[in-house]
Amino acid sequence: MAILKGTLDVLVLKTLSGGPMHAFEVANWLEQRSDGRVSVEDAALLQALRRMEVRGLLTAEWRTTKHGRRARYYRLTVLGKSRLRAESSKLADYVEALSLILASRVPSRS
Amino acid sequence: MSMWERFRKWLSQRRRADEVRADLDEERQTLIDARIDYLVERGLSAEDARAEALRRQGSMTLEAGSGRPGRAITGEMPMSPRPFLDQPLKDLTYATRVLLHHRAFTMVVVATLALGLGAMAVVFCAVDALMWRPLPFRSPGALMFVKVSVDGDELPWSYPKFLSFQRAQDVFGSLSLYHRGQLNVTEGEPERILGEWVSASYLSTLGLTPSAGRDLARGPDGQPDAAREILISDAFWRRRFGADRAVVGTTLELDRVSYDVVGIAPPGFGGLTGETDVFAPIASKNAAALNHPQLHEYSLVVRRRADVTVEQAQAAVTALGASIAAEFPSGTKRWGAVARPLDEVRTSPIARRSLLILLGAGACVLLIACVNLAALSLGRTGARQRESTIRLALGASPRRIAALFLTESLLLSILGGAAGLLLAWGILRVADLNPLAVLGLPMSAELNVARLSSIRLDSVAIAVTIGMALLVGAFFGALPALKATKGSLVTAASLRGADASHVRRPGRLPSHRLLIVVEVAVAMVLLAAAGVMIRSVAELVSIDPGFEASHVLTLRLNLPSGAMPQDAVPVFASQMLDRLGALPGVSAAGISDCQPLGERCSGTRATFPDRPAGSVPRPEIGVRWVTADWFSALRIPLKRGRVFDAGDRRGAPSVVVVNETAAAQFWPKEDAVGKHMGMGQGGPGDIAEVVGVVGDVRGSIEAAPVAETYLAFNQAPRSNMIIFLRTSGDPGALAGPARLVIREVAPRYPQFDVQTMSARIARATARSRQSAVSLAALAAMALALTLVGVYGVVSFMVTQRTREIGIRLALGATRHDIFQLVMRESLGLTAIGVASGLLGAFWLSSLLKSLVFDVRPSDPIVFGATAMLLGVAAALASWIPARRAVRIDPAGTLRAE
Repeated sequence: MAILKGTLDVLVLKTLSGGPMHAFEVANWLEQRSDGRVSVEDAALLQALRRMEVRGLLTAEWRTTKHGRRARYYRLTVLGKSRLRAESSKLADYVEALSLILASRVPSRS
Repeated sequence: MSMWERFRKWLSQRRRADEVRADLDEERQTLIDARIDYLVERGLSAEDARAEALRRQGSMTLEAGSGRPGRAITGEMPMSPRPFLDQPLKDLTYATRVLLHHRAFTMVVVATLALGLGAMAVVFCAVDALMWRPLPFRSPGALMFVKVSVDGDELPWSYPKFLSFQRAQDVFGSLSLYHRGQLNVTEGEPERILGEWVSASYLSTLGLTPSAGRDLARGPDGQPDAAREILISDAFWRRRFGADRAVVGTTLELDRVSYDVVGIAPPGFGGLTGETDVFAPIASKNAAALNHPQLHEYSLVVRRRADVTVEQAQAAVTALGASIAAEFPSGTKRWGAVARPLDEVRTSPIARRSLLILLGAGACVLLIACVNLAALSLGRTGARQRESTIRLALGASPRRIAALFLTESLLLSILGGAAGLLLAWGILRVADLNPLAVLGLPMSAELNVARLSSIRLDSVAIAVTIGMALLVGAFFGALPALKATKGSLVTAASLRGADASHVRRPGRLPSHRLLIVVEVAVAMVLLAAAGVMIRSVAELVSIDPGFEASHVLTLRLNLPSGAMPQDAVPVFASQMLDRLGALPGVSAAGISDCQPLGERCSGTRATFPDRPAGSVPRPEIGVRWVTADWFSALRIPLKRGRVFDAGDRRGAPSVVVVNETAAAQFWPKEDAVGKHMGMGQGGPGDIAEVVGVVGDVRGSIEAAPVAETYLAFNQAPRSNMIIFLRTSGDPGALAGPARLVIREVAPRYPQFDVQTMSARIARATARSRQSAVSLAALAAMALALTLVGVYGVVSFMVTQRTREIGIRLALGATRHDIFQLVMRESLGLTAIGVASGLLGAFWLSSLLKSLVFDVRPSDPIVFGATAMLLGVAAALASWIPARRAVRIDPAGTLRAE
């Protein structure tokens, strides 16, 4: 399942709220949390990370992984945390409204 | 934000964006690697893991089709590709539109600039090639030219004196003698060629190396009749041997002596005397030519040692000159030696002066073009003021407006510069530079390194022209426009910029009047100079040279030394002349050893048996060897006695014919015929009887005739002959048949230099004619430009005074009054210009003195005519605007307020 448009940013912010991660860890975490149902293309993920970095939601630095490889680690900024709070409550409201609508019965007018 | 700041910001952003892209690429790679590691840990094969990782990449393109990450990531600001160029490009577009709109203005300005810059570019090319461009040798600044001096005169060296000089000197690292000579190829196709007898160190002194083979061997230079080996010039190698390298190592027979060809001189090098075909070692000359201490024949070029200055070298040479004079005592004259940098002597002083005058004239034309440009720009001030007022009112900064006008001005000047270069290129292509070659610009026979063939439009000339164009544009186009924008906001806030200028009375704009005065004055100087030169040429051409040049064909024939015994030469010559005389149309065929005009003939000192030696100084006389028919071929009148006849042959008593000057000088109030005289070394040796007196012939067109004697060719034959043929028809058409006849009679001897006598005379006057033609062309340009300029300024003044004129008309002035008003002003200014120009011309006339012949450089007729010409031209140029002023409608002008 591809990620719905507009939701990737908040998912990434959520992922990073546990601490610094690099891009592959983010992708992998998302996949495992969703039981493999959510997968994200590298390109889209990298662009989202960079975009949020430019906007000041994330900071990044190159570090070495435990496998001894170089990787770019991202960390939430204060701005990122507050954005995550705002977005996730908005999204939660939206999902709730969405399920209400989808669960309701539509009277037939035939 | 200034253009510079914009440019820097753009640059730093570009750099940042590039860094981000590189960083991103690296991160993408780490992501792929991390996924491969992960999948392999999960048990996938390395191959499958890689495939999967790559599949998961996705596409990185966000910007449509660019294949690059978007600005959102790289942090670039949304901007045009080259933001710092936005404003200039916009200005350029605007300027182009303005110029296209005012097509007439643009064309006049571009044409004006093209004339001024084109003329300047041509002159610059000539001056650069002949005077400024470094000589084509290694470090030419170290080369010097050393001569023997004697009582203020300068001579080449004799070989023994040179050897003594060479031994004693310690300031030059390398020295080489050279001496021009003519040689005849005496194998295969006979050909007369130019040679230089040189020291073996010739090429190395100049810093050149042979392009093939080796340099001349350095034997002991002092040994006459040494190695018979030669270098040939690149041009000769191509012409005679079809550029065949195999010629190196073979032999070539010159004047019946066989030489080894050891090498080929570098391309473009024709010796210091120019156009040399063959370089032979001086050491191969015979002992007689080398051992005589007073045979001053050899030019000397030297290379200064690196640690010696020009002044030190000159001082050393002067000192050495004195010691050499002591070593070789001769007469009572003061002998010495003098050294000069080669660069200084490459152009003769007179040529240098003509070139500088030409340069000045070119600068004058350019100056007039600039003045025109200023006038034309000022002419548009009205429109400009209005435009800039609107722009200022709408919030443009004065700097923006200045930039706008500057762009327009520079665009104009670049167009003008390009057109000027095109014009210069055309002139240099069309103008036949060959006749210029006899301008004899550098032309001593000794030194001819600055050659006309090297005049071309090279990158230096192009850069200089464009540079001048930009300067001119900036100063003369933009400054008036800028001046017009200044302070116009207040006076013209009403948006009536054009009208507001009425407030200024013409008297408050002295710059316009000054423009006319300057322009006319400069044109006056130039026209006067050209006029003097033209008058001088007219004098030259009208001079009677003493003979009739039309319908005469001349050609040269050289008998190689040893070709036939002396006694056989007269027989050979008369056979040849008989055959030539039998050609249809030929009425006389004669031989002389030397051509009248344009050449130095032999000279000697006369002795008279009836006057005791030593009592009077022996007078100098010219000596020529001629056949009897030579006089009739050139129609030189016989005044008394007879010319030579068949009896005057070898063994018969020596006879001589003298010219009228000689007769009058040596035997005043007596009859020269029957008197006796001796011609010393050059003549028959013994005393000859004067048998006839002929009319004077000028040896050089500029100089009055001198005393001359004519010896009978048949009594003392010469090996170098010039054959003169008088024909009733076209002498040029005779060339073919005449050559054929000579080839039949003398198949092995080279004939060359076939020319009509008229062409020879043209060569003799070429220097003056060329200077006059060049100056006249520049003066014509100046006149045309001045006309345009005066027209422009007067038109502008009329426009400025439209309102004033309208009021005058309304108040009762007649049309005639108005016409007079305009004309009086413009002619008054012209008169001031002419007057100051005259002063300038008088002041500069001393410069022309050495260039003109028989005319005072401040010739009153020329100056008067020039002043008249300028007056008429100015009147013509003012006529049209004055007519326009007359047609002004007073009611309309007042309503326009």
